[in-house]
Amino acid sequence: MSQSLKPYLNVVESSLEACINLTNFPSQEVERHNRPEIEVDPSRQSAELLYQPIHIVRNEFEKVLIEPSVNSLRMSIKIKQSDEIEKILVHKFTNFLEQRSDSFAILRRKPISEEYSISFLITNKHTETMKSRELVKFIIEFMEEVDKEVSEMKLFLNARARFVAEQYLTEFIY
Amino acid sequence: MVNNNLSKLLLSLKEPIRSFSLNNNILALSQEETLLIYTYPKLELIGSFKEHDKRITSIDICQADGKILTTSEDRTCVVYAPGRSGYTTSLVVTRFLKSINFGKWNQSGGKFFICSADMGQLGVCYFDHETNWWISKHISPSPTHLSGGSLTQGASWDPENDVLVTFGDNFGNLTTVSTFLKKLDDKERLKGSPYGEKFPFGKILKESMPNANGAAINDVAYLPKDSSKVVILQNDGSITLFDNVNGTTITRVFDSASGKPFNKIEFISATEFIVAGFNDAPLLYTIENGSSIKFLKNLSGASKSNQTAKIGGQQAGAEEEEEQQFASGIQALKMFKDMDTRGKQQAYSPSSSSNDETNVHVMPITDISFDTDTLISSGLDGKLIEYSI
Repeated sequence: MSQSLKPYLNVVESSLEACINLTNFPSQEVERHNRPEIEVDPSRQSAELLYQPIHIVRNEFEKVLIEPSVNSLRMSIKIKQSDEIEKILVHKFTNFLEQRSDSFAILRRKPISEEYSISFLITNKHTETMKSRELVKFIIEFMEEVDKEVSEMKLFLNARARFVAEQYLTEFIY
Repeated sequence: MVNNNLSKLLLSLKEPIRSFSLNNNILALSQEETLLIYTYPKLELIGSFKEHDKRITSIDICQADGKILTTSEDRTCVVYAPGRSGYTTSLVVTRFLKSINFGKWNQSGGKFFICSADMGQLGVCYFDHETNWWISKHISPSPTHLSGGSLTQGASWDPENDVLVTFGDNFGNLTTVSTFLKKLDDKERLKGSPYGEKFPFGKILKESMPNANGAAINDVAYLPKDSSKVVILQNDGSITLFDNVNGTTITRVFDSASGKPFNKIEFISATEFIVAGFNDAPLLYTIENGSSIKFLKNLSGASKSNQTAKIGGQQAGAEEEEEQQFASGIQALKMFKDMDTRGKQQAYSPSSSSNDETNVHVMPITDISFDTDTLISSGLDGKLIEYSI
């Protein structure tokens, strides 16, 4: 991990640690239901169950939004996309993961808005079957790796484009 | 300092233990919808009941006659009365439409209160011999507290008179009400109570918002020798000594080691109390001169070694990071890569790296109970652990 990324990830980690105290909470609006309160329409439900959201912004390309509630937590990440190629790569990459979100357990099928690239939804069911510290560690590792992965793919793509272009253009050399 | 050997693993079950109760050598605990009854300290299973069709939220054993009360998300309560041929069950029709979050017997065992999220109401239940039926009467807090209704698991009987109940809700309000029933309660016991002169059923005696921060109240406990004061645990991780009669905060402390909120509080003497919750370890605090709260010790000796292990682990991790970059990777991504390029299939589990120690909790503590020099705690990890104090 680069040294400049570390303080950002440390803040995200400690904020997540502080927000991940989720309890079992049977719905107080709908009888015999137990649902993640953060996913319920806030205009129609009891606002006291949602806690203050936390924005962590590194720069215009990278930011995190953590929305805690009594029994669930939603975390959205904007992955660094500094040019058009990265935008396409991130879109394809997150799309690939989201389509397989069943295997990820904590991954949300869609990011909460177009502003963010990917969202995680952690509920009390997850913290009851997995250690919350490990969950936080997993998300931080994901954030560390995803940048690396995208820039690797970009290099790969560029190298391949250069190769293809060279091959194509050699045809025109006399 | 308590060392590691003084905590002992009693039980390790498959499902999380959300609530348990210990009284008169009977230990009752919940496994989702099932109630298990054990003898204590031998831990022989003497009964298993599945009266509820949804998760059991709390269990309490009556001090006076050993009746067990369970409350559940299925909107009902069940009372299990001990008899010669085992326990007989009776359903309490609460008339609440939402989950019952918490229930507790009073000391004499004649009645119990239940907390429901339904319109923020409190239910008081007692057995009516004429109709041979459990009756539930409702108490509604004032309309200002009613927007949606939001009671949590924080309520306590006044130890001096067995009639008044103080409860907290998710808005951070603390309310004291009277549950006086002519048939059951003795007026004499209420004489000299700091909460007023008259105590008709359902009267709201005190309403306040401690610390005025709106943080949900997780649990409330009266001081055993001074019922004008309570200790409250809030969701911001604070422990507050609160003067309930005057509505003022006396002192407020945080657990500096973890900063995590606590779920449960239990007094073990007139001034000493134990709190436990998301920090995974019970902590012993004392009230000094009735005005300050002081941390005494962490009862789970192993949590300290856990912390050092974690710090050590981080340092080592930083050094080996470069070497292990490929090996550690992000597991899920690696799994897909393997599936994609090498056709490998393997289960993904983020909690695979465990440093399991048998006699400490690895997940939040849900309930605690104190009984002559021993404390027992239950956790979401399905463990029941005993500590000597």
